[in-house]
Amino acid sequence: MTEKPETRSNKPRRNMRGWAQLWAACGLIAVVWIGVLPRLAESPRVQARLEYLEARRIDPSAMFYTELEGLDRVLGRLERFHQRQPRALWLPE
Amino acid sequence: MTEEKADETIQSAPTRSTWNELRTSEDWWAVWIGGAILAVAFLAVFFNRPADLEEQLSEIEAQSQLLQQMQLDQAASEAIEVKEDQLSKLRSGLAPNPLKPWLAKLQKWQDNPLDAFLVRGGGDGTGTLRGVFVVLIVSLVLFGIGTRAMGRSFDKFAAAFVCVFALASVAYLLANHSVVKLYNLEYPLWALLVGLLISNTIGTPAFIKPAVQTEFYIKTGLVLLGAKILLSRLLALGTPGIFVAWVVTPIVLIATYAFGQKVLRISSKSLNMTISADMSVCGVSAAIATAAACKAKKEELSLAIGMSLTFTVVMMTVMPAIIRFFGMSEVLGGAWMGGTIDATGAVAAAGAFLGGEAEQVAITVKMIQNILIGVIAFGVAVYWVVAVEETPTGRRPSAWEIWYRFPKFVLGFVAASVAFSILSTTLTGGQYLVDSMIKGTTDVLRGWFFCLAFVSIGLETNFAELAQHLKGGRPLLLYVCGQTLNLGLTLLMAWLMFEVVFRDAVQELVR
Repeated sequence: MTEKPETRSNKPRRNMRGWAQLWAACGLIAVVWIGVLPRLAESPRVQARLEYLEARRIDPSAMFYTELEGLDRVLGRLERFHQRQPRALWLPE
Repeated sequence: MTEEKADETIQSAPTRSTWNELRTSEDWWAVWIGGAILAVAFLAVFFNRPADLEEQLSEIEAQSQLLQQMQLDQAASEAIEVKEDQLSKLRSGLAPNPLKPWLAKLQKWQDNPLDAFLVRGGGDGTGTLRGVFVVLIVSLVLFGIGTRAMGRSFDKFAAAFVCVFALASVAYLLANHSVVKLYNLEYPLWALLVGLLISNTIGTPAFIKPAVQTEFYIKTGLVLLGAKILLSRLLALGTPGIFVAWVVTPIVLIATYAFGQKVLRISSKSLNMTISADMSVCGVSAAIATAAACKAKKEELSLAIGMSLTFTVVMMTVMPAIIRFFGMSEVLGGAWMGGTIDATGAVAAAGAFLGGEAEQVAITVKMIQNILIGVIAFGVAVYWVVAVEETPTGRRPSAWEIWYRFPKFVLGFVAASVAFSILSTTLTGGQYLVDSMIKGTTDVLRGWFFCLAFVSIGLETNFAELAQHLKGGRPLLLYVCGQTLNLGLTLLMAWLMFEVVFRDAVQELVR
C-alpha cells in the first residue's frame, strides 16, 4: 500500500534486480541438485536406505496408496487371510 | 473487488443457471474432461483385455491357493516371498494398458538430470520424453477446449500453457532426485517454489497468465483421483482398520477444527479446515481435496501443504526410533504410523524401516485412511454451503441455494469413486482392469494436473501473502495440537484393536 509509484527511472533497476535474484536462485538450485544431493546419495547410509526401499518396491514420495507397488503383496496376503478366516478380523474371539 | 476476491479462492462463485453452468462453468468442465479421460482410459484397457482372461484368473486363483497351502504348512518365508513375487507378476501382467507407453512422468534420477527424461523404469529408453510430450499435447487440447468453452482465447492459452508445462517439468525434475524422494518432499512443494521464484523476482509475465488456472487443473485432477478411491478396500483390515482409520480420523478432524475456531480463534475457517484435514487424513491429497471443497485461498493451501510436508519428514524419521525405544511391537507401531504420518509414501517407508510386519499394517491402515478423502471432501463441501457460507439474507439456504453453491466437481469426484468401485467388483477381473487403468493412465495425468496447479499457485502468490498467514503462529499451533491429539488417540485405538481385542487374528495375519 505504501509502495512508491513506479517511475521510468526505477523500473529497469527493479527488473534488473529481479533477474539477478532469479539467476542467483537458479544457480543455488543447480549447485544443490547437481552438486550436493548426488554426493549425499552416495553416502553409505543414504545408499543403503535407497536400496532397501527399492528392493521392497516402495516409493517414499507416493501421494496415494495406488502408487505403492509393494501394496499388491500386502493386499494378496489380506485376501488369503480373509478366505482362510472370514470372521477373524470382524468379531473378537 | 468481488471478482478479485473470487479469483483468490480454490473455488469460484457459482452462477444461477444450471444449463448455462453445464456448458460454461469451470466445475462442470473439470467433470467433463476428467470423465472423458476416465472413460477413454478404461475402455482402452477393457477392449485390450486378453481373450483368455478367465483362464488367467483361474491360474491366479490356483497359485493363490498354493500359496495359501504353503502358509498353512508354515513353509520357509523365502519360498513364500518368491511365490508371492510370481503371483504379483501374474497379476500385474493380467490387464495390459495400451496407453501406458504413451504417457509418462519424469523418472527418478541421482547423478545426471538427463536421466529423468531418458531412462525409463522398465528399460524403455526413449519412452519418457515421448510420454511427456504426449501428456503436454493431450493436456493442452483438453484444457484448451475447456478454456475456449468458458469464453477465453485458445491461442493465448496454448502459448502460455507450454510455458507453465515447462515450469511443471522443472518442478518434477527437482522432486524426482532420489534423495528428495527419500524424504517425501513431494512435487507440489517444488512446483510451488518454481512458481514463487518467478512471481517474486521478475514477476509473472503477462503472456503466461492465460494458462495460470489453478482451480481448473486441481478440479480436473480431483475427478481423476476419485477413480482411485475404491470403496471395497475400506474393509481390507476388518474392524481394527475401520476403528483406527475411520473412527479416530473424523474425531481428530472435527476436534482440531473446533479447537481452531473456539480456542485459537483462527479467522479463516477454510485455512482451519484445510490444515485439520491434511493433518488428520493423508497430507497433500487430502489438503487439495478439502481446500477445493471449502473454497480455501491458494496461499492457505500452500501453507497447509508446506506444514504437512515438513512434519512428515520429521515424523517419518523420528517415529520408528521412538517405537523401538519404547519396545512397542511392530504391529502396534505400524498401525500408529499408518494412522498419524500424513503422507502415504512416508508411511510405507517408515513402516519398512521398522520391519516387515510394521510395513504391512502401516500401508493397510493408510490405504483405508486414503479412501476417507472422498467422504471428507463431500462432507466438507456440504457443510460449507449449508452452514459456513453466508446467504445474502443471512438465513439458512434453501435446497436450490445449496445446489447452486455446491462445488459440482465434487459430484464428479464422488461419481468416479462409486463407478469404478462398482466396475472393480462386478466385472470379471475388474479389479485388475481398474488398477491397470489407474497406474498406466490416470495417475500420470493426475500428477501432471496437480503439478500444473501448484506451479500456477506459485505464479500467483506473493511471499508477503504467505507470511501473513503465519503471523502469530496460530496455524502452526493448530497443526501441533491437532497432531498431538492424533498421536494420542491413534495410539490408544491401535493398542486396543491390534494388541487387545484382535491380537490373535492380527498376529496370524502378519506371521
